[in-house]
Amino acid sequence: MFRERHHLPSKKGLAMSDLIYVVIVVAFFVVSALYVRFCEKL
Amino acid sequence: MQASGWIQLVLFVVALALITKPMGLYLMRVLDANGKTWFDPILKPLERLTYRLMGVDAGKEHDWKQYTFAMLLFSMVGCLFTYAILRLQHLLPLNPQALGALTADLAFNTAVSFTTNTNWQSYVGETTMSYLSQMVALALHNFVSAATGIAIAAALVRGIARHSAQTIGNFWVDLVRTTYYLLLPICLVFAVVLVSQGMIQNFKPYTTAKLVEPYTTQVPKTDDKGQPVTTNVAVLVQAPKLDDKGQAVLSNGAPVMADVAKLDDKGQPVTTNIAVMVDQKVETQSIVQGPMASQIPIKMLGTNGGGYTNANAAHPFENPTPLSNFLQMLSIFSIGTGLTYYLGRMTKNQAHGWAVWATMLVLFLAGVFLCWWAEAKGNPIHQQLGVATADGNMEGKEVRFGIFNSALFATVTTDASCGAVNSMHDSFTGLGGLVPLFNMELGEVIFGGVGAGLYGMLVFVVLAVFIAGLMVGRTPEYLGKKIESYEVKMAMLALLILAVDILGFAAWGVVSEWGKAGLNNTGPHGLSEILYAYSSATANNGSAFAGLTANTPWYNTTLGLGMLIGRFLMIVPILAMAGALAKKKIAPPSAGTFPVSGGTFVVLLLGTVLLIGALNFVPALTLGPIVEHFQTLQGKLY
Repeated sequence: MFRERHHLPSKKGLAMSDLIYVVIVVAFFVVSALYVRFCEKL
Repeated sequence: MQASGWIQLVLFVVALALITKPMGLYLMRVLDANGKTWFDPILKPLERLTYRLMGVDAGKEHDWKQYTFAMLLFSMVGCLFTYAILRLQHLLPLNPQALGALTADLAFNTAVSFTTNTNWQSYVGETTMSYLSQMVALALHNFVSAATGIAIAAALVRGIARHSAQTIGNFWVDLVRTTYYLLLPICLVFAVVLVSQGMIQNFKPYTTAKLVEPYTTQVPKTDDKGQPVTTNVAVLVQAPKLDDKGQAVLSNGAPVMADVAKLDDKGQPVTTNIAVMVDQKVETQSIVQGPMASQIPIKMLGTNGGGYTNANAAHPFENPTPLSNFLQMLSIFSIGTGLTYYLGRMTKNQAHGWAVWATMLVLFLAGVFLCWWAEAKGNPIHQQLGVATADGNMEGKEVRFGIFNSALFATVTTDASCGAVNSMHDSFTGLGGLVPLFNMELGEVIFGGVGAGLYGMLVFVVLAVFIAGLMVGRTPEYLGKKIESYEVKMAMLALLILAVDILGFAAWGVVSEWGKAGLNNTGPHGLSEILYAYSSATANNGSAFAGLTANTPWYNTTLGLGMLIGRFLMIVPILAMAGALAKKKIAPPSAGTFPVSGGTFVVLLLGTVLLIGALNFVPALTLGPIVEHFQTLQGKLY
């Protein structure tokens, strides 16, 4: 809710870092789906 | 601890008790796919249209795996959608302040934060988010992440209540009905009430006001191209001060420290570039405007907590009056308290619902009393200096709300997974700050986040029943269902994920350079700042200790991962437990059945919650706020 110091927002376009974060999000949910199987078998 | 505080506390508890049954009964209708509500003439066609557009067969229920996959898919798509808006906000409409796109790591952190109902904000809302981002990206998640939590709780309760069933409900139906019939109507009415108290709602650019007392501040100097001007300076480090003979100078037995130039391996001074600062006279102030009243009701009701402004509920637009403060606190608990009644109704054991409610109330009151007492008692160093001794610890508190309403708000917001604040928790005393930290580490099961509080508490209920079974040597039974190894494994998995996530990331943070670089305080208070950040992220609370500079790629990424793990890897075993319980037969109560109502059960549940919370987190808390408390008594601050 509160931060004392912060970066200024970027005005740059989309970059390689976007690809990395999108992959992180998708990978997490794929792992979660596998985790469903893990819980089922436990 | 003034009389006005006691009166307000009694009023709060009475109001909480009074709304429990009506809210629970309404939840019964909302969470029943065929339930009738007053809004059916208006909302039923919209509900049907939504299902048609989504291609959902509302009449078909899900087993626990289908329910879980639907929830995960919906959350992933929502997260990516929000990420895209935040990264492209400079190209999108409703941006009168011409705010730029968020950095990639901040957009990731924020998208995850709102998807997981955390609302941790590593940014300043009024200088970062366009109106479109606030209304579409963030407010959308405020509704649907809250609805997701309620849906999960409903699925678990159905699992407990159903007899030999394969299904636990339809995720899409629960999501849509909760959003349309519960959250939207209440928020609409609540928004009007808040506007009547002085909250703003407009699309105007920010207002520029002329200051009555202009002041001078320092800002970075820029060149003709607008780039910051820097200069090369020597890096200083602290080292023991030496006398003429090269001996360390001591004061009271401790070495006196002095700034000296840092040297590299070759003995040369290490230098760094820093910004050149120049004086600037400030004669005007920018006053935030925008669609605030449409954001705040769901921020509180959905236990989201993400502030429109940086000051959150301490801002006079965001929390204008004592009445708005009271209603905002009550709204945080309103769905959580109603869900305990819903539990009782669904399981046909209302006494059990009230026993869970009573357990939550006891934990809530214990937190309020400790936090209020610690803040009212104040800082002993202030007392020695004679600084406002009668007022208690007013540092970091909004004068309009004072000690009691700050302590109550801090307790309520961390009992639930809200995270809104009307005071700065970083400025609380050691013990005052311990309360919000401990509340989050218990998993926010005290009325809790919408849905998350109930399903978290039901995990403890399963463990309490299991422990009781072990104590008396009988097969544990919960409301006629045998608790077997699978349910206990799933319950433990959910609790262990919470502990590993919080303690693992916090441990990484305190030993790494990127972690320590964000600290604004040293010693136990610094540890508390990092521990608080990961507790808040994992428990999907979103409040911050406010002393940590967390808008860095490392913090944004690790806190984002902490939120994802704390939300979804906890929900999966809970839904697995719901599926397993749904399949079981309900046996009629017998003389050997452990009663899940009454004082004995409340004490057992309290013990289970506190014992597991204590076992997991007391070592870390001892090194943080508890050490800080004793060192404050010795006159040492950090």
